[in-house]
Amino acid sequence: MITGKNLFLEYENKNENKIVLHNVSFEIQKGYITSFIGMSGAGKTTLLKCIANLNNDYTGKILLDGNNIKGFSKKEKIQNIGMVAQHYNLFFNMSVLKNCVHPMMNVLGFSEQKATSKALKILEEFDIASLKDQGPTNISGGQQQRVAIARALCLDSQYILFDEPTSALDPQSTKFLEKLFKDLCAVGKTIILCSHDMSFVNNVSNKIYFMEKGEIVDCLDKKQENIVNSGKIKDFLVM
Amino acid sequence: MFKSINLIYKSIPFFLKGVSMTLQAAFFAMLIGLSIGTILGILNCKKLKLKKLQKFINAYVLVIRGTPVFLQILIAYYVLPDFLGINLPPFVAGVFALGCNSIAYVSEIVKCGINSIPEGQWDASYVLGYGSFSTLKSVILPQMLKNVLPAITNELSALVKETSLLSTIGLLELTKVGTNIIARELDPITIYLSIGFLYFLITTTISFMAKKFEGALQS
Repeated sequence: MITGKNLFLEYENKNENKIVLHNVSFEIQKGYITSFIGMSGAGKTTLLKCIANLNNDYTGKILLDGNNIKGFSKKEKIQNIGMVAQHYNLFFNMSVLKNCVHPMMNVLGFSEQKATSKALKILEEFDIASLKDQGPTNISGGQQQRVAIARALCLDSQYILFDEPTSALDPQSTKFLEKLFKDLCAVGKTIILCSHDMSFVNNVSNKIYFMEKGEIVDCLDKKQENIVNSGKIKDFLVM
Repeated sequence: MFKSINLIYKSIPFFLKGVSMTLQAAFFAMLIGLSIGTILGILNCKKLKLKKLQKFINAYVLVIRGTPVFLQILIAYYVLPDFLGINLPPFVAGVFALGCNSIAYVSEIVKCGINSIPEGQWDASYVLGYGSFSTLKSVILPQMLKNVLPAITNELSALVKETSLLSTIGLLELTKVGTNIIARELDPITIYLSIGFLYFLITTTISFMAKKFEGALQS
């Protein structure tokens, strides 16, 4: 389980302090699909970056099974937390296959043969093995996203973070993603996402946090009884 | 016409010596500029927050870009030996001055090249467990190289042309060889046009090779 405790984050901008996260606390249960929703600028992406260890400027604690993620080794970090960014961020200087193989060799110390066979297996599952020699700029947005997810899965991360996963997808790819998220949860992965796509969030999420001006103001847990539910989430979902 | 052709033919051995010296000076200055300039450019990129070192690098770049290369050559040849207490031969002083000049320009090209790579590429690397060095080596620099190659080619071509300024400190490079021939033969048109053509040939060859390299990188 990932637990966030009293997270505060502020930036200095033109001699003014801008609060990005204000006393944010949350719990992400294993095997759940947890979503963070809210208006633009609410702090959703920043929060995901904090969980992914990309932003360590916050105060407070993010604990993974009781251990502070700031103290994780490189290997611990990637085996626990993976992230698929909004624009997928595939390495432009590498082919689709190399995007998946290189991190396994470079970070986990896999041999090229072992890494390649694992990557090909996952690419085949995603129906994109035929694109293995293409460059990221030669494939569509939906295909790029599949590659980015495959790359994250190659590292066996337990928690996978998605920043606006449906922002550039057609309805068919969105359906694929919905099914994929549920399949991943079924095999023990935990999905954390932030999105503006309310119908998608409503369909896939087990738990939804609503953020406003850097604060979590509402939470809806579909599996258990609602922890806090001021009605803001329901209002936002039907918008 | 016949006189001019005869003069060019007679001057070929001198031109070749001049070209050789020009290429040597340009090569060593390039070596200094590319190697140290690339390192300084990397250290000066915004992602590596080495504030004190970056201030020093920026100050160096400011001074070099704010003064004429001709003056830098004169300082290297006439002033620097006084400080070091040794006599620098024209070749060493010239290469040193051009190399130091090139460091500043190459470092700025590399810095801007790295800064132009989308932030997401760094984020993706860090999420995947790459450290700063691995990120630079495997992800950022290969992409940066493709972006900065045209600017680096310009810098190298400029460097070859700037070697002509070394004639003022007595280095027998192409321009100096040319002026020596003119002093003897009194035919500036033929000689200046000839050495101009030779400079053109060298810089065009550099551009052609850079294009080939760029093509190889693209594929």
